[in-house]
Amino acid sequence: MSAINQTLKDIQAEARRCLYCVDAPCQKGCPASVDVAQFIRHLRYADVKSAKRVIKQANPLGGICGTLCPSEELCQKNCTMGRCGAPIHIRDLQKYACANASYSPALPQPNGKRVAVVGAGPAGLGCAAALAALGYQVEVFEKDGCAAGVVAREIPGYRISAAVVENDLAELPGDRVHIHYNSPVTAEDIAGKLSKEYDAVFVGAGLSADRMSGVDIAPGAPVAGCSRFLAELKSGAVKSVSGTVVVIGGGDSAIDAVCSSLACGADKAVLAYRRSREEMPACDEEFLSAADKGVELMYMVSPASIMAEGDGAAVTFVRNRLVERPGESRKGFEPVPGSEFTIRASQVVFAIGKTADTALLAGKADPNTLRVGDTNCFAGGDYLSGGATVVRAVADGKKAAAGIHAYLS
Amino acid sequence: MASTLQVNFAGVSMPNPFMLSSAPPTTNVEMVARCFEAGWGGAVLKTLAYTLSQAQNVNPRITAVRSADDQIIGFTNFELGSPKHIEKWAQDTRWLKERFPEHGVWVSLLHTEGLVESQWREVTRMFDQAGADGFELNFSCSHGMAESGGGATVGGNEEAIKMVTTWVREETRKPVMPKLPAIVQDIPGKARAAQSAGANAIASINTLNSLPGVDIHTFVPYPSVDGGSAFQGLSGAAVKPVALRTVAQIAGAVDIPVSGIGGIYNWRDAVEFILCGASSLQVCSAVMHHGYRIINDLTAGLLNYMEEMGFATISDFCGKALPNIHRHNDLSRAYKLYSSPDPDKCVGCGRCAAVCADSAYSAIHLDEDRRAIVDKEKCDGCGLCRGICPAHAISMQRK
Repeated sequence: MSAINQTLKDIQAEARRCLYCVDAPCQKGCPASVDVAQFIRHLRYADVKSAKRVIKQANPLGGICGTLCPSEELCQKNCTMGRCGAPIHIRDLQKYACANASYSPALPQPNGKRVAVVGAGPAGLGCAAALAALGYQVEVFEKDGCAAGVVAREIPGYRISAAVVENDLAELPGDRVHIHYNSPVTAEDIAGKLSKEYDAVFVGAGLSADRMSGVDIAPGAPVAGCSRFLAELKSGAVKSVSGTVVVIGGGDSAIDAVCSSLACGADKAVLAYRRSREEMPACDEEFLSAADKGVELMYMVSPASIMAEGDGAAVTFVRNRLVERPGESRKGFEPVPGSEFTIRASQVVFAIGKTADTALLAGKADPNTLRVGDTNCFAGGDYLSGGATVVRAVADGKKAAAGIHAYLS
Repeated sequence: MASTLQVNFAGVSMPNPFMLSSAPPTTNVEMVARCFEAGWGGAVLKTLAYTLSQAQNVNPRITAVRSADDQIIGFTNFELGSPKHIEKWAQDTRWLKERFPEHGVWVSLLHTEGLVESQWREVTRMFDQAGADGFELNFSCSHGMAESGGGATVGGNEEAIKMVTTWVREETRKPVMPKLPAIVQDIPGKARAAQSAGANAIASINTLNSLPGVDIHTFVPYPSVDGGSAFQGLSGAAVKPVALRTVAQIAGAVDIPVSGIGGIYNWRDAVEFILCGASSLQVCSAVMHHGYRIINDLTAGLLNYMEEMGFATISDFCGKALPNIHRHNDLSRAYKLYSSPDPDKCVGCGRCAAVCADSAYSAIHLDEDRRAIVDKEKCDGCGLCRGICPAHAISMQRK
């Protein structure tokens, strides 16, 4: 649980539980390679500034990750204290450090090279900050009016405060990383002027098209994709919802959608997931918070059809049963014939993943360097992976920065 | 078996060996009365000041000393003798003994400006008549009194110990107990000097002269008394190993009883002091930390230990560690050990491997299951890994 109003004494007491493991397994669990053991030791002795420096040098979105990281599946999962009590609450320590010290990156002399970054989300900013730290001048082209991607656009305010996002953005090296807002970029721009005018291009454009496949949806039925639904609630374009909101999916975004629905006036929010709780990808913490808020959970159901009915929709589900899949740990499922049932909804939200709305690059990225073919273009983040966590996107951006640096050196 | 904590210490009978030492917990007799009601066996009253001008205290004067990890490991103080008239103390001592005839009431002599024989003799007579059970002689205060020629200044000088002990000895038939400091040359010699001058018991240790810390922004050591500070006496858990060593040295040098003092926090500490030769125990810091109520923890735990071990009285195990303390040169060199982690207890942090690489013999590594593995040949049996293992998973085995 994310602790509120922890004092430095609380933080030191938590840091004191660190065993000083010889090989710091916590660090190995961090996709962004934050030297977790080092920042815990700084906090233990109240050196918050050094702790923050350690975090932010490795992860320019350290404050955001200090709030959003599914740490129990990453650094904390590896914590040896988990074998003899409870793991160190590493995310709380990171959150505290990022909120309670200043940081300004130390930059070398400019190396005279310029890189274009497409998308000011976690991957783009991770790449940009890492390149700036190597002496590059970075121009970031962002299609929206805000940076930090899904964090700023979609993730509800109760999970991440605007202040935390703004703080991470303010601590980017502003004179080496220029963000051009409201500047969409096309595939032609990338292949053409960006590739020519810049020494390299990184595409971390994220995913913006909600997947809505596999179901018959009648015209006029109130159906939305999750990212659009969340973005409209967060921006205020949609002020409130009412009636019953049915969210189809089982990831963190689906949880955000049901919780936001309740927060914005829904009488009832139903989470419909095709498998069981055990297979659900949402992290425990978010799932439990949804359960606490009174979300209705339907497991082992898949939508079969969505009909328009008055202002709302009639959603017909079919029940599933789980089936073992040889060679795979996660179970599959199959529909149970004749098990259909229908519920009414004022709004249906699909939270079953996203795709890139347009193909920005031709060719595949090399998994080690993230370079696309033999071009000077690189790609990473959700755009490449199909959707993951903020910290993995930052890690991708860093990996691309290393690839770009090797390519240009 | 039925064990008893009842002791007769240097002729003073007490319901148990636990006494409050001469310190802030014995600032007045109302407090001492409460401590007896709580279950303490005896008390040494705050050191008397012959004239009150010598006992003007500063603010603040007590500092809790914390480790890097914020645990209280001791206290420092530069409190002086009692700022109360000796005549009032004599009345109060009489009142206390009338109310608590079964408990031990010792007075502590004497804060004077320089060593004035007539004053020591006068005060001894006064408290002999007031009914004090015994006289502790403060030859060990490491701060204020030492600056004015008393306290540890006496305790570091065998002739001075004998001289002052003799003054008191000649004025009373009640037990006389010099309280000796820990940081002096030849502690056995100091103890023998006290015995030769007629002491009936020896108490030790007193606080260690120290500086608890410095404010890193104002550059004033703690505690700041209006922008300045002074050296202070350190007590509490931090001094216990020094105290055990000193008590063992004294107990080995004389054949009069020893009152052990220095960082006694729990019954196990008490047992250790008794094993090193103490037959009464004095406590201050643990009371400053937690209050008089800890007496129940001390007495119950000590009694359980005695019953489990089959000791009927304190004297049955007093000094039992002393025959096991040797000259370092006489310890066996044929006794060779190696570190042996218990894989069922090992949590896999690898701290042992880290310290063995950086402070010992690089004899430990983690296997793929994160279990500590020791290279028996490389291990030189130093015991560092066993000491720092957070899971207490390491034992030492014979090579």
